[in-house]
Amino acid sequence: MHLSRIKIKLTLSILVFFSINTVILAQKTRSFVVQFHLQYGEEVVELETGNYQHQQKELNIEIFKCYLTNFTLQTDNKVVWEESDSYHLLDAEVPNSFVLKFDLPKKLRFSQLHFNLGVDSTTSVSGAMGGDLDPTKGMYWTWNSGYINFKLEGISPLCPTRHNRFQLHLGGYNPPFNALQSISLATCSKDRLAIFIQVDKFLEALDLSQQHSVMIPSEEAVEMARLAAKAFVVE
Amino acid sequence: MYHRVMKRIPFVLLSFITIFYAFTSVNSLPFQVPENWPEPAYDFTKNPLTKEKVALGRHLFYDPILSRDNTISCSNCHLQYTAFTHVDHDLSHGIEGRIGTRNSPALMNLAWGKTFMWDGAINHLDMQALAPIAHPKEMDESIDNVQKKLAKTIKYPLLFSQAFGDSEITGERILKALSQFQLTLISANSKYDQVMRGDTGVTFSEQEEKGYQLFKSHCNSCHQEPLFTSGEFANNGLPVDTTLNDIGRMQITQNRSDSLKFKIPTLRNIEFSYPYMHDGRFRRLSKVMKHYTEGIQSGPTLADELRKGIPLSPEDQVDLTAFLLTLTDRTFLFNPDFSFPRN
Ligand code: HEC
Ligand code: HEC
Repeated sequence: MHLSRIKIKLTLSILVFFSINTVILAQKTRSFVVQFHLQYGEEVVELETGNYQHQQKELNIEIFKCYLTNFTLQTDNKVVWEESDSYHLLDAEVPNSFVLKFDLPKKLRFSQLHFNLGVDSTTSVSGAMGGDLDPTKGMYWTWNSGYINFKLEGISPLCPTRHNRFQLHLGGYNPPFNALQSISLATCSKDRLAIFIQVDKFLEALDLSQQHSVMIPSEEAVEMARLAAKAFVVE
Repeated sequence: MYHRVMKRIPFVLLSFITIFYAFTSVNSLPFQVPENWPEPAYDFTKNPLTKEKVALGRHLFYDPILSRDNTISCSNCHLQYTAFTHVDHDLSHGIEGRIGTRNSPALMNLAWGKTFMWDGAINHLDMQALAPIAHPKEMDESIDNVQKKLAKTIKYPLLFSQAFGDSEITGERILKALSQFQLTLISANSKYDQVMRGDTGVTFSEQEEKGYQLFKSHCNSCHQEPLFTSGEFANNGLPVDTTLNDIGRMQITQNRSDSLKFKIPTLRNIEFSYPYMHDGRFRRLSKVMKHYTEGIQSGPTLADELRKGIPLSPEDQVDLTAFLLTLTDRTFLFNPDFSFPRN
């Protein structure tokens, strides 16, 4: 009696285990790959070594990093899928960081990809975070609280600064200087999307002889963040 | 039969969870809110205290490895016997003797802090340590380099695995451990606390009682009991030191109405946390009394309750000072759990 009871229990739990698994497997997923390309016009950006023409002058790019967060897929402005814990640091020094892979339900239909350029205010006030949000990534302000949403540094003779460097650290989560931007792009394939970050488009909108050093949350940073968001385009 | 199995599932699950917890959080430390105190602002669910993490944080707090040339630790500017402030210096002294622009605040009851620094620049205790580590006049180091230096030691990978289950050292873990130690720095056992709790045989003297009444009518709106700060910002009428031109809170909000406002500091352990004010301009409490009675400088952002100054007779000032001395908490100042970790 006792033994048979144990046997029944065992078979039952094995049965339950397998049926849960088949339910999960039946809902097959597939991946959607988003590949970012850092471009200067038609050229792929090479940190430090690449030379680009900006207002007939040579321009170098030394650092490019930004946070892309809260990815969702939408149809007709309705969210059909959202990534959980959606925080990604794109760092031009780490090529892998430019490829994001999302696992989606197989039958999902969508026409737009949505994400934010920057880290939302709730996350910005929630203390120490790990992974891409770890403060060792060099994207957290120290004297003030909050993440740097977008960091671009380089050299142009137009900048009247030490070593002609421009340093644009765009961030800030507190109104009126909330620099967070939302970006919405049309998707045409169900499998992949190529997004171009046109640094030229962003820099052409600035006057580097005046706008070369932004290090604090401010009106200027918010304005530049708006321009930076416009640099994200699909073909 | 089926029902019986189903009934047992919660029980089995529960025992699994218990076993799991028994192995992971070996020594959780419940955070004790002192009697009649408000709920802390710190969200402990995101960083639950454990004995091991507090111990790690304590080692980090006392270790000069956090500075560029391994000479300055947090405790250089935050010394236990002076309620974790910088003894004697008006402006804090950092690496290579470089002098900062502000007086280091006393550290206690940080779990109730809503913002940190004199101007509230920092929004969360976890992120505070990044400021002194990176500040060129304090430790002049970067958190990613601290992470690399710690990983090369023999001691820290071990302490991190005791605290976090594996030896990986990350910025998040360093910061959370530092918070944990600082969160344990609770001062709630001064004579004032004992009187309020009704401990047997402890009562205010007549002078202290008079001082307490004066305090409640003139100071409590800002230095609110039981923390002796409301956590808000105010301009208490200090004339601007033109060698520093510190505009306080406005530096962060860039809002004119915040000009010359500073975070209201706690008055607990005030006997030992001299010199006073954000720039350490007053060395004695008698100077503070003089300021509030006759030194208040008017201005557009001056707090309303100070517009007419605070009328305190010389006798009142002595009584009020006697009350402030009841805020000294020797169990806090000499608690061996807070001192340099010997092992
Ligand atoms: C060179 C001296 C110095 C060192 C080293 C130093 N601090 Fe400080 N600390 C200060 C000063 C000065 C302030 C106030 C700064 C301000 O208001 O801008 C401060 C503020 C703080 C505060 C905010 C308290 C409050 O109530 O707002 C905390 C917490 C703190 N320090 C913890 C630390 C920790 C942890 C370390 C080590 C990682 C450290 N400090 C290292 C001088 C120092
Ligand atoms: C309007 C709010 C307000 C009132 C009322 C007020 N204070 Fe203050 N107090 C402050 C602020 C703000 C500071 C910090 C100012 C600074 O450093 O710039 C401060 C600083 C202090 C300090 C120095 C603390 C330290 O650690 O440096 C003492 C002591 C003090 N106050 C005592 C008193 C006493 C006693 C009274 C009543 C007679 C009083 N205060 C009334 C706002 C107030």
